Formats: sequence, structure tokens, C-alpha cells
Amino acid sequence: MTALLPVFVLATSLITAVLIFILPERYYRLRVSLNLAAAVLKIVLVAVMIAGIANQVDYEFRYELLPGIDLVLRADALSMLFAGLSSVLWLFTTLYAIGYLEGAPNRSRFFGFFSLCVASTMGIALAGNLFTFLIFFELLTLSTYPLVVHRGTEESLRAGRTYLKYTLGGGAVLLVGVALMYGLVDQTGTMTEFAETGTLSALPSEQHFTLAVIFFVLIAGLGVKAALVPLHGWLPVAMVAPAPVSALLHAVAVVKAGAFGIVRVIYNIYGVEFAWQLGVLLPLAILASITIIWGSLRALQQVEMKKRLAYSTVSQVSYIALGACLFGPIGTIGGIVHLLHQGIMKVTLFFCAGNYAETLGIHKIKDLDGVGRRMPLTSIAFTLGAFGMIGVPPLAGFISKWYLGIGALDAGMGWVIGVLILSSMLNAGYFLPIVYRLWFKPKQGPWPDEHIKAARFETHGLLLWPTVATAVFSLAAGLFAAHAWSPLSWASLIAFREYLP
Amino acid sequence: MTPILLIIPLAFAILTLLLPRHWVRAIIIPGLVLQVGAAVLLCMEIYQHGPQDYALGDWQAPLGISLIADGFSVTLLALTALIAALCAIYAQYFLTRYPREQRYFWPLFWFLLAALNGIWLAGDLFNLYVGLELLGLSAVGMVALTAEKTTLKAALDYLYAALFGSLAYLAGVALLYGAYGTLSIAQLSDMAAANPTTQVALALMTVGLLLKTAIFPLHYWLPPAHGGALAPVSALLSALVVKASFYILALLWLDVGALAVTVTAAQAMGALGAGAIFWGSWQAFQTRQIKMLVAYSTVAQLGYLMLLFPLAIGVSEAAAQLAWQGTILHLLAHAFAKAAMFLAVGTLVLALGHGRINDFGGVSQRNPVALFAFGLSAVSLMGLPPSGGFNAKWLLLQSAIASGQWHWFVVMIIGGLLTAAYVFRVFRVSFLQSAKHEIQDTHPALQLSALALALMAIALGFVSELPLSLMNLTDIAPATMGGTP
Amino acid sequence: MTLIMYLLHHIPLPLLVVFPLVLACCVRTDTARRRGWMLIAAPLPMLLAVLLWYAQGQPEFITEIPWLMLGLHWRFDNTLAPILLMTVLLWTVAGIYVWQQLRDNSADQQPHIARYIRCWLLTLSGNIGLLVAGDIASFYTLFALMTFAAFGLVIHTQTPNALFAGKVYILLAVIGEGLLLSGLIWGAAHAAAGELTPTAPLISSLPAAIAASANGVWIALLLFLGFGVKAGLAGLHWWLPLAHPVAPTPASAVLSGAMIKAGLVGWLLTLPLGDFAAGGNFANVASLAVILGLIGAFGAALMGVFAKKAKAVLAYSSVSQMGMITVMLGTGWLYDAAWEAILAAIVVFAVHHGFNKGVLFFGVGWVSALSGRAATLMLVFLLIPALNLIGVPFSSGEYAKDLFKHVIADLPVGLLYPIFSAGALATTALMARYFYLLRKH
Repeated sequence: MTALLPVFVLATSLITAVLIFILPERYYRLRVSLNLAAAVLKIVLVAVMIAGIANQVDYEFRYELLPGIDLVLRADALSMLFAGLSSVLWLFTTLYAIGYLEGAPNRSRFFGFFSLCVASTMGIALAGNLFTFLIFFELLTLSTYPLVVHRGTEESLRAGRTYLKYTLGGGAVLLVGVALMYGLVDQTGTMTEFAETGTLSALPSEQHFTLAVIFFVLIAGLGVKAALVPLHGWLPVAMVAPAPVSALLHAVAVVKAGAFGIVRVIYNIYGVEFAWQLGVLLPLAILASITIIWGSLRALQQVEMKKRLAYSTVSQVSYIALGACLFGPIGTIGGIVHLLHQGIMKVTLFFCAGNYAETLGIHKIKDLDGVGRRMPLTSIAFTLGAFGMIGVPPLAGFISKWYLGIGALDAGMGWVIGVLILSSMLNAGYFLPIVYRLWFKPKQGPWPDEHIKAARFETHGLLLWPTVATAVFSLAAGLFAAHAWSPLSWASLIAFREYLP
Repeated sequence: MTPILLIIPLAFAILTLLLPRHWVRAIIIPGLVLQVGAAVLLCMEIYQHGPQDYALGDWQAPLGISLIADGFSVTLLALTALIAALCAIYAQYFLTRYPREQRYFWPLFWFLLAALNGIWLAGDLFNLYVGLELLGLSAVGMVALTAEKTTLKAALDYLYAALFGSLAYLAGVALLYGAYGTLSIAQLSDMAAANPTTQVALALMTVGLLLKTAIFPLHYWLPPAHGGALAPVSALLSALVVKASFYILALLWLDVGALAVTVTAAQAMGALGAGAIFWGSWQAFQTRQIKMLVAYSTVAQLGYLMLLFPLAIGVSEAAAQLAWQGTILHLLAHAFAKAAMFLAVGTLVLALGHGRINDFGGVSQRNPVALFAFGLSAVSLMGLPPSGGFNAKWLLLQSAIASGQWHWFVVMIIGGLLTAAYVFRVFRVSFLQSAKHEIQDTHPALQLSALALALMAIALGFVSELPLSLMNLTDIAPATMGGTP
Repeated sequence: MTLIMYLLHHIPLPLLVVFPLVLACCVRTDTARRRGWMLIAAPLPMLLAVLLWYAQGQPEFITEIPWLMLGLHWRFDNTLAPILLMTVLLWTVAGIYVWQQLRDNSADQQPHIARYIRCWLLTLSGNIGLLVAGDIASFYTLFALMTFAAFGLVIHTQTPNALFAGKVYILLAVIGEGLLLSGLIWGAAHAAAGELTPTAPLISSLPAAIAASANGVWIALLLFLGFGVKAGLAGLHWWLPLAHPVAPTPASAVLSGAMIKAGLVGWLLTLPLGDFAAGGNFANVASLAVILGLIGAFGAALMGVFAKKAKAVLAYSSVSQMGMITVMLGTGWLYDAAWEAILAAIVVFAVHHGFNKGVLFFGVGWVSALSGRAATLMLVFLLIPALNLIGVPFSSGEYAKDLFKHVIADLPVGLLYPIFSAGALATTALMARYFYLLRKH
């Protein structure tokens, strides 16, 4: 059973995807119930596994794919963080998407690929070695393309083309890195197991240069999805996708997969201590810092809501890479916990952007004047998300920044605090004007295109409640950070297991 | 057991020639079942008892006709049976619109199978020649089925290429026979030394086979022939027929002439392969017709097979083994994927009534399964995981790393991206919402048989162990391949 | 009485701080005008608790909730207690003022009453909360809550001037928060050094950690400037004279009387003062404090006498008064032996200024609401807080200043004594301007 549980978790969304593809378009109710049942089931399974991991149970599934190369699905504390995020957000984004796409064509295709995309993230979370990770990483590219181009307009097709150029290119680079890793360093395939941390440090020092090169090849491959500057070009363009897709892409699926991969490479393949000795962490930290600042600066210039959020993602996701580069448990905690915190906050913001667009037809920031009164709950959710991104306590983002800052000092990289603070101020620079418009500016004329009239609630219930729920999560993650079951505590557990063998 | 695999297709070929039309339809399924069953049984036998020799009519080599069933050949036999079966099912529904062509399709189909099986099992160079001739003729016949002006032209070109190729091959066979007095592959591989006669013979045969395999720059005949034929025919040709001549080529270079070939020559073969990858992909990217795209894709994919030679010749044993395994997997994966792709494309063309890629808008709504099959097979072609194509590429990459041949490493990585570039052209337009023309529904069997093949290409990614372990039961073991210093 | 005692010891402090937030959630747009009572009710529980605590003789009073945020640790602090009491009282009185305005409908008939009440309650919660928060994370949380929510008070009238003031306010606030957060994180990293998971350390551990750090001067500088934005430090004070004239009168009163003291409280809690400054490690920052304080004290007075509005004059006066406090702080920082005495002087000065400045701000509203004899009487009444501020004999101002002057009499800062006395002249000038403008009105 402990071997099969990871497979079941993966299967919940994989089989759902297949069933949804098979179901004809018109079986609306069946599809929805199937989808939701699977999402709930997955959360239950993940919860069981999280409890198991806390009690040191080993979940591992192994299958020989090629001579000497195994497909390994293995649950450890880090994978459960990502799996937990992904399963919870799957439920909420699915609910949201049901409301968002009501009456739209091609829903069968959409939800099929949506589930497939979640299955891929699950696989990425549970991958037990580099090879397995690569498989699901590529699968993610394939399953997200149809979502990006879902609308089928010229614009979305163009965006899809850009998306492919970047992600397939990145995938090829990653393939090069992984192939080099197996071919030059690790013919037996044991060192690239995530469970065996730090075995590379045993290699003779002649190989260190090779290892450093491979490190950067891997990072370059992962960096495309993680949107590290200058590989971030696809992200703002991919904004043409429907809002739930953007939410999923930014919060858990694509960018997060890249960031998660970077964390895996640093912690579970090289081992942070060895990576530190190799001297590869500092360049990456600098690159991540540049990304953080650059993304924020670009976000300031955007006039469209979703574009601004996209550049904000570019900036925020690099906190994770930055945290991973800080040698020391506290920085580790900061980076890892931000993986989750950024997810819930960003998903909230995208839900809100979707709500504004779907309810009132608002896409541009300048049209948001006075929306707070018309859509108070959505606007509160947005405000919480935005303040969280800025790093205002007691929201989740503050906890991340707090740990990143202290971790940076611990690692002797005090300059990182400057980056954090500058980024916070820039975040304030592009989020506060929106919050200001929402609450303090009077409404200017009629809404651009009001689809959904205010009835009992400000908008469709399926659009509203997931938004509120994730906003509450972002508040709770910060407010109860010190609680034993908070993301922070889980991240601490991961860090302890990494640093205290 | 072994000869049955020749007897079944030959028998059905004659039966379908003689029997009246409604009978022909009735015996398709039994024939396929027999064929697949026999192939599977042989596989299991080989798996349990190891490779087998069978002397036809008890005439021993060097004079007699010997059949050799080893791991490699039974793998290909099983592949042939599977793909042929699915193509036949497809053809049954597809050909309902072509009553006249149907009459000739089935005999040619069975002759083609007989020729393929003959080649897989042949133990000497002359048998291979016979197989090649039969294969070439039945293939040309199938291309010419519709008897339209363009297809006739394509068939004629194909015929000339096939004949010239056979001729060159035959000349080489004659030279070898003159020099060594035997045509048995097993015996020749021990005897053939690195002398001018052997090398000229090999060169002649290689040119002939390159022409038949349509390796760049001798690929000119393939796109019109494969692109112009009926969908099930294209599938069979691209998936299986070109592989037969490649199979012989591999035998010649790595077994028969292992002592005579040089590293330089092997690198040159690799260069042809690289040329094929780049040129084929570029052409596929350029073309406007969907079937031509798939046909050019075949040209490109065959290039990967050619990388076997530089990767396996003059390198360490481990690297050679990786190259060999990778090539086998690539051959299998491409066979499944390309068959699936041609069948899927055939369905889409049938539904749309045309093959212009840029007018594919709306096809995803009416024929989702066919498009999905196309997508899955494309995954394998691009070498993206999880698929047989990915595993193949992985092994080839590992081989290139192991032997330090970074140029081939780069070629393969770029090749994957080029494949993606032309494949996604199709997806791109298929997501367009607006349909310019009316789109018809197609029979589910058409869509499903394509899907089945595509799923096999994907599934191969998970069961790669199976063919690879069968491969170890071959007498052209990798150990003998890396001989030339 | 026993019941009350029981409650005092078992109701956790956070409830008292969260209470205004709960009220804020209950405000509805359509009935907001009738919810003025909330502003009075919101600070009352805290007021009661503080008074009871005083009545009990200031026992140690701590609430710890380890699972909230990064570990909550709240307490009544003996040193800050007078400031807390002043703050709560001022908020209560200001609440009454607003309630009356709303009830009489005499207030300028503005929309957004609901938003105003909500922002008021949020600011209130942050302001009283930060005075009882004992761990860094929650302290910073409440400080930020106060800062951002007060934006709504500043721009409430939505006039172009108010919007501009709001912009300057938020810009400086964000810069301040940034400086503050970097200082806090830097300090906390030292305070939590060696621990694997830094639950936020207690704020009381900061001074020692900063004093022990090699970079202590920089941390201290960051914190000094970060809190300085709120405390109206010269150079970072620009928002004060812009925001006070445009904010509603009661809001100005709490801004200037209570919230401005939050910056001072931040200094007192985090800076390495007293024993921690022994050895003169922080002489540079302390000297900077003295210099900036002097510039503030006299520069603001100079600017203030040219101000066109009574509330602007008061704002400049606040900057000036805070300048004096900064001078006191800097002096105490330089001479660590005298710190205990100076601290007492600072607290007394802060409380005295809070009350008197609050009344003077209310006065602006009262005078404008009255006319004729009543207005004149009101002006006469307002002389009391004004004279207090100036520090005439037998006033609270004189008491506060004397406390300080006694201390520095023994210190080698001869020049400071006359300078500080001259501060009274500056205040006098400002008060004169204030009355002039009021009368003109």
C-alpha cells in the first residue's frame, strides 16, 4: 500500500483526464461531479500521505523503465508540500473554472487537459529521481499548451507559439543537462535519486568543474519555466489564457514546477552544502535577485491587470530560487515556504483579476476605480493578496520575507535584504495604486462590459467563493504560521531533514 | 514454427486474389488473427528457447534457404503483425469509398507482409534480395492503386528507385559471392575482410539500400509516394517498408561487413542522417499539405536511424550497445507513431475533404480522437516523454555521451526541436475555432485504430525493457559490432 | 470585583486589540452613519483593562500564544503604560468627537462614512496594539496596520490637497516600512542567531542583539530612520504638515497626539539605549539624533509661523515638539548613565504633548463650529493647552522639561541647556500663529 499510494495520487487526476476526454461535451453534470470527486479524493489521499510522512513512513513506487533507469514515485516532505498545494489548488481552480467557463465551448477538452496538467504537477512533486522529474516536466509542457491556446483566437495562438518556443527549448536544455548528468557523472543512476542527498560531494575534485557546468545547464532548463530573467519572456505573453489557467500556471503548475525543480537540484541532487562549496549558489542568487528587481520594475509599467500580475510572478517566483541559494536552514525554510505562500496568494490575485474581467469586463487597471463598493469580497481578497505580496504582516508573504531575510544574514549574504526590501517597495509601488483605485477612487461612468449583474452576491458564486477561500488561506498561512500544521512548520520539517541527517 | 510466418501471408495473398470480393472481406480478420497469433507464439518460443535456425527443405547453407529467428527478427515480426493488423482494420473502413482499389489492395497487402516477414527472417543475402524485390513491387503497386496522374507518377519514380536499388544491391551480392563463395550472413561475417572487393561490394549495396530507405539526399521519391498514396498504404510504407532496407543496411555494416567498414565511412553515414534530419524537418515545416508534412517527417526520422553507424562503429562496447538499443527502440517507436500519424491524418483529410494545413480550423471539435492520436504520435516523434521515442532518444544521447561524439548529441537535440516546430504547426491551426468548410464525421473505427497505434508508441515508453531484453537474444550481439578499431 | 479580576487575568490581550477589528467588520455602508458609537466602544475594553491594571499596582501581565503568527507574546509594559493610557484616552475622546459629528449631522456631509469608520477602527486597533505587542512580528504587523489604515483617514475628504497629502504620506510610509523591516530583520537575525527556526524574537531582545552585533550602528540607523518617518523626524516629516490640515479634525488629533508617538515607542523599544550604548558605540547615530532633533525643533517652528492654516501650524508644532523629544533621546543615548532619568522625562513629555496637542486640534473644530462669544470663550479655554505646550510655570510642559533640564545640568552639554529653553520661544511663536489664524477664521 505504501508503494501504491503515490501511484493512486497520480492516478486520481490522470484517470480523470482520460475519462473527461472520453465523455462527450454534453455530459456536463457527470463531468463536473467526476472532476470534483477526483479532486476531493486526491486531497484526502495527499492528507493521508502527509500524515504518514510526518511519521516517517516511506512511500516509494519503483518501475524499471530502461536498463538501469527507474521511474520512481516517492513521497518526501518536500514533495508533499508541492503535492498539497497542487491538490488543494486543483479543487479551487476547478470550481472556479466551472463557473468561469459556464456555457463556453470545448469544455471537455479544457477540463481534460486541466486534469492532465495537474497530473503532471503531481508527477513533478512525487518524482523520486531526476529522470522521472524530466518526464513529468515535459508532460507539463504538453498538457499546458492546449490550455494556453484554449480560446483559439489569433492572439492566443501567437501566445501559444511563444510559450512553446520557450518551454520546448527549455525542455531540450533540461534534457541535455539530465542526459549529461547520467552520462558523465552518474551511470548507475543512484546519485540522481532525490532520496540520496549529497552523494555527489563524494566525487573526485576533477569532476567538480563538470558538475558546475551541469548545474548551470540544469538551471537554464528549469529557469525557463521558473521565468528567471532573461528566460521569462513567455510568461507575460501567456496571459491571454483564461483566468483559471493563468491562476494555475502561475500558482502551482508551470512556474512553480521550474522553481520546484531548482529546489530539487540544489537540495536533493547536489546537496546545498556541496553546491555551496562548488560556488554555484552565489551566481544563481544574483540571477534570482536580478529577476526579482527586473520583474517588479516591468510590473510597474504595465497597464493591464493580468500583465502586471504576470510580471509580479516573474519577480515573486525567484524568491524561491533565492531562498534555495541561501546556505542555512532558515533561508531554506524561507524559500520552500514561499513555494506555497506565493501559490495561494497569486492564485487569489488571478481569481480576482478573472472576477473583474468576467463580472464587469475590466481588464485595464485604470477601469478599476471604485470597484470595491460593487465587488467588496473580491476586492478584499485582492487587497489581502496584494498586501501579502508586498510582505505586509500578518499575511503569508511576510513570513516568507522574514525567513528569507534572516536566512540571508545567516548565510552571510546581507545584501539580499536590500533586494528584499527594494522588491517590497516596488511591489507596493505597483499594488497599492490598484488597491487605492478599488477602495478610494469614485466610480467613473458605467462598467466596461457588465456580464453578471449583482444579485445575492457580487458575482457568480463559483467565481466568488474559491477566491475568498484562497484569500483566507493566504491570511491564515501567515496568521497561524507558528502553528504545528502550518506551511511554515512543514517547511521547517523539510529543512531539518535536509540539514540534520 | 518459423516458416508459418511466410506461409500465412502468401496463402492469404493467393486466396484474396482468387476469391470473389465478398469473400475477401470475410477472411481479412481470420488472416490477421492467424498472423498476429503466429508472430506472438514465435516470440514466446524465442524468448524461452533462444534464437533458432531453420533450413527450408532441409537444405543447409551455403546452398539452401535458411531462416533465422532471433530476438531482433521476432521483434520486427511482431511489430509488423501488429501494425499491419491495425492498418488492415483501418483499411477495411477506409476503402469502402474505393471499391476498385479494394480489389487489388488486399493481395498486395498480403504480398507485402510476406516480403517483410521474409526479410526479417532471411539468413542469407540472396533471400534478402528476393524479399526486397517482392517488397518493392508490392509497395509500388499499392502506391499506384488509385491510378491518378500524380500517384502514378510517384509510383513510377518509386519503381525506378526500387529497381535501381535492387540492382545495385544485387551487384554487391554477386561480388561478395564471387569473393567468398557463400551468401550466408553468419559465414560472411566471419570471413569478410577489409579488402577492396568487400568494400566495393558493401559500397554498392549501401548505395542501393540508401536509395530504397530514402536516406537524404536519395529521398526524392519518398514524399510524393508516401504523401500521395492512400492513408493505410502510406502508414504501411512509412512504418514498415523503409525499415526493411534499413534492417539490411544495419546487417551489412554491423554484422556482415563489421571488419571491413571504417569509422570515417560510419561518420559519413551519420552525416547523411544529420542531413536527413535537418532537410526533412525543414521541408516538413514548409509544406502546405498535411500528408506531405508527415511524409517529410519520415525522411527526417529515418535520419536518426542512420546515427546508428557512427554511434556504434569504432566505439566502446557499452556505447555501441546503447546505440544499438536506442536504434531498435527508435525503429519501433517510429513505426507505431508514423503509422498512427498517417492513419490519423487520413481520417482528418477524409473529414475535411482536403489536406491544406492552414484550413484545419475547427477539426478538433468534430474529430477529436483522430487529432488526439496525431498528438500522441507526435509526442513520440518529438522524443518527448513518456514515449518510446523519448526512450530511444535518451539511449542514443547516452551513447553519444559515452563515446564523446558531441556533434551527434547536438544533432539529436536540435532534431527534436525541429520536429516540434513542424508538428505544432498542425496543433496550432487545429485550435482555431472557426471552420471554413463543412467537416464530416468519420467512422469511429478509423479514429480508434489510429489511437491504438499512437497509444502503442506511448506505451513503448513504459515497456521498453521487453524489446530490449528480446534483443539480447540475437546472434548479432552488440559484442561483435565494435570490432573495427 | 473578583469577576473583573478574573477576566483581566484570563482574557488574552489580543482580544482587546481585535475587538475594534470585529467592529469594523460589522460596519455596513447603508447604516454607517448610525454606527458612530463603535468608535467610542472600540477602545473602551482596552481602557478598562489598563485602568484595572493600574489599580492592581501594575503586576506582570503577559499573554503568550505560541501558534499565532511567529509566536505571539503580548504584555503591558511598565515604561510604556503612560503612553498607552494617553493613546487609549485620546482615541476615546476623538471617538466621541466623531460620534457627535455623525449624530448631529453637523459634520461636512461627506460620503464614504463607512470607509471612514472602518479605517478609523483599523488604525485604532493597530495603534493600541503595537503598544502591547512584545514580539517583533506582531509589533510590526500592528505598526503596518496602523500605517496603511491611516491612509484612509488622511485622504478622507478626497479634495485634491488630501489626495496629494495621501500620496506623500503613503510614499514616506512605504519607505519607512522598508527601512524598518530591514532593520528588524537584521536585528532579529542577531537576536535569533544559533536557533534553527527563528520564531520572531521578543522585541525586548533587540537592543542587546544590536549592541552585540558588529553592524549594530547600521541596524540602529535603519531603525532610527524607519521609525523616524512616523515620529516626524526632520527630513522625513513632510507628510505631517500636508496631512494634518486636510484630514478630518478628530483624525488629525489622533494622528498628531497618538500615532506620532508610535514612532517614539518604536525607538524606545528597539534602539540600544542605556546600558547597551555604553562604550559610545552608537555615538554617531546618537549625535545624528540630536542634530536632526534640533533641526526639527527649530526648523519646523520657522516653517510653522508661515503656515496658512491653523492645523498646519499644529502639525509643524508637532514636528517641533517631536524634535525636542528626539534631542532628549539623542542626549540620553550619548550619556548612557543618564538614560533612566531621561527616559522618564521623555515619557512624561510624550504624554503631555499627546494630550495637549489633541485638545488643540479639537479646538480647531470647536472654534469653527461656534461663533461670537462662545468662540471667544473657547479661545480662552484653548490657552490652557497652548500654555502647557509652551511650558509656562506650573504647567505640565514645565514639569516635563524640568525633568530633562535637571538631568542635563549634570552633563557636559552646556550649550544644550539654553538651546532647549529657546525651544519654548519657538513654541510660543507657533502658538501665537495658531491663535491668530483661529481668530481670523
